[in-house]
Amino acid sequence: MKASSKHLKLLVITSVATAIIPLTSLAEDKVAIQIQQYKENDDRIKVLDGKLSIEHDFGPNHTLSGEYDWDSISGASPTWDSITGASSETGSDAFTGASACVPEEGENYYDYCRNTRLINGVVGDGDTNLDNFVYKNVPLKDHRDSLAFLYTYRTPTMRNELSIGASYSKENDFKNTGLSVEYLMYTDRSKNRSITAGVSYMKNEVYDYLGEKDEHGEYSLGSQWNDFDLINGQVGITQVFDANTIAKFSAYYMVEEGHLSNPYFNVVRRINVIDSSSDEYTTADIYPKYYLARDSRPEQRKAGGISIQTAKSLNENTTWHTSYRFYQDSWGVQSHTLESKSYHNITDNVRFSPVLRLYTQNEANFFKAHDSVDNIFSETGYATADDRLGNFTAWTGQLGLEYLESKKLTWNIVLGYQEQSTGLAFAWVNFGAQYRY
Amino acid sequence: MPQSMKIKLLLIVCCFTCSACSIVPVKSWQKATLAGETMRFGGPNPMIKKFDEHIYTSKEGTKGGGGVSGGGCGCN
Amino acid sequence: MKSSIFNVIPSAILLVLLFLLTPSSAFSVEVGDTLSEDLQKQLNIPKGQVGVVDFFASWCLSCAKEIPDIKKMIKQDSQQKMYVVGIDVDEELAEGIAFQKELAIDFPVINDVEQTIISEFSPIAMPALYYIIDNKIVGKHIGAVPNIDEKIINDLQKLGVEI
Repeated sequence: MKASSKHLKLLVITSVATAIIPLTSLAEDKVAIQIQQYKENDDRIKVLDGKLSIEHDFGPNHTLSGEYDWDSISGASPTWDSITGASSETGSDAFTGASACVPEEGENYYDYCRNTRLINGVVGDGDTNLDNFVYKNVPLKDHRDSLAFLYTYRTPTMRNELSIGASYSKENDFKNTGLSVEYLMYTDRSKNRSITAGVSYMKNEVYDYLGEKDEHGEYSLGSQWNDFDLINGQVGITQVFDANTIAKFSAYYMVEEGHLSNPYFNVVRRINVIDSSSDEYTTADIYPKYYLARDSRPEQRKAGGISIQTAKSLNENTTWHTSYRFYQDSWGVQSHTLESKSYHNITDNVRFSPVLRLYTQNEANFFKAHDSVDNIFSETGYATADDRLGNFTAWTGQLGLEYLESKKLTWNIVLGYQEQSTGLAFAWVNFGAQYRY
Repeated sequence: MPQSMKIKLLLIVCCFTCSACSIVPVKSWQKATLAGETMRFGGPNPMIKKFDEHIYTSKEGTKGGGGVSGGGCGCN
Repeated sequence: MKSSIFNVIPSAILLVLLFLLTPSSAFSVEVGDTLSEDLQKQLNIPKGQVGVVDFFASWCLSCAKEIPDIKKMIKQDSQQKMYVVGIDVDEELAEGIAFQKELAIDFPVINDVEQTIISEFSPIAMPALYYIIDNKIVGKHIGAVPNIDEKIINDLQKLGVEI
């Protein structure tokens, strides 16, 4: 229980590795605080998250901003497990190897057993029927701290912007260090068009509680840190269409490499084993057994896509934002995201902002949903039952309210809700303030 | 139609649509609306958008393509 | 799968080129031009003083940042060699007035609500500063700069005016 109860942060925190620039610089001196409470249905994950940010100008050419983020996560997340909870027992036969493979199954079985572990990352003992396997919530708890800085320099004549960012985040089983550079260049003297180009590099370390396989194909005792890196490039054009309309077109591409499998997710594999005590056996001696095995993903993921964002002022009191994003990766995931957000000044001091967002994605080519008819993997090949790599649609609604107490001080409250066709639903509430000094 | 063809077609349609949109050069002094805080892609309070993005990337299989920079009046 | 990702990229580049090729024009009054009589009347720069015309607006963040330095500079000009006139180009008069109050602007300001004055100058960016001697534009400075007061004093020095 120990191992799995401190993990699973990865389930929630994957966003650290995506943004080119972790912060934005608007050349305003300001401090802001934002607190979020997030909750999933079926007593799943709960998150309490707080962010504190400060932005300060050093003359018109230099801006420095910093952000501290603190969050704690608790609850449970579903994965394949055995009824007895093999995945959460660090002392299971996955560690000791021999103890599970030796018994009365016979010598051939023993060899095969060890080999399957080498190939498939089998966790726990096999079973001849599926009754011992269940897709269930596994408890989790973690805490994350992260820090990000962004420095922006504006060139004297054209006011082009060079931004350099650095970020670091740490939790019990995940570390992320990021560096990013972005350049914004105006292409015309009226500054109605700009090109943005950015690159970021993220180094991630994942703590694997099962450790690494040794030369015998068995998991060594103890755990270890595994790396995966991410390189992300993005180019965009921002164009002013008229005095009330602006749009940004972007293309992005990224490559992730390294330990991309999630050490806390399992699948069920069917493996043919041989029940014979001698080298002589017939097909009658071969029978299938089911094993809990680790989530297994390719060591590389290439992804890319395009996005279009527009902002239009409809009248003095209404602004409408729309965006569309297309995404595709080498694992076979493809997605479309459509979002509408509008800002309505209800009074001089109150601003209302509803959001509607539609999302659809299709599954990775090595995904099998836990509740599908065909939910068992064969003995080899990549395998995941992580719903986030599955086929689903989702809609999100948000209601935001800002109270502009003065030109300097703004309060906000945001209520959000998402429902996925996987059955997952979650809601969140944001509360915060922003002070310009 | 293969997927890649569809994407290409979509992009070509995009190009035509955009080139058909009239681009009216906006003078530096006509940017009052564009300079408004609600016209920024990151919104008046970028932290709210960052929280949203954090949730979405955590619960969906898509990474990247966000980013809140750009936009506004170019008058910093 | 891979091929469709790579097919997106050339199309995206096409999109970029399309935008770059779209013409966009910008023009502005050149240094050396003489002000129209209308403008001379509106700006009302006293004879013998160098006119410093500063265009700003409440929505222009860097314009606001320069104003305290300009106020400081006026105080230093004990011999009153300069005549600073602000042109607030806010289309909403109330917003402009509130902005001027907030920054406690104590030099003359013209509220160019109709944006006629700035249209004649047509600066390519804001903030924009013009230097005027004998109703003739002798220099300009466009865009935000740190320590604008020192910049103006330097510029004027080059034009033969010692502050």
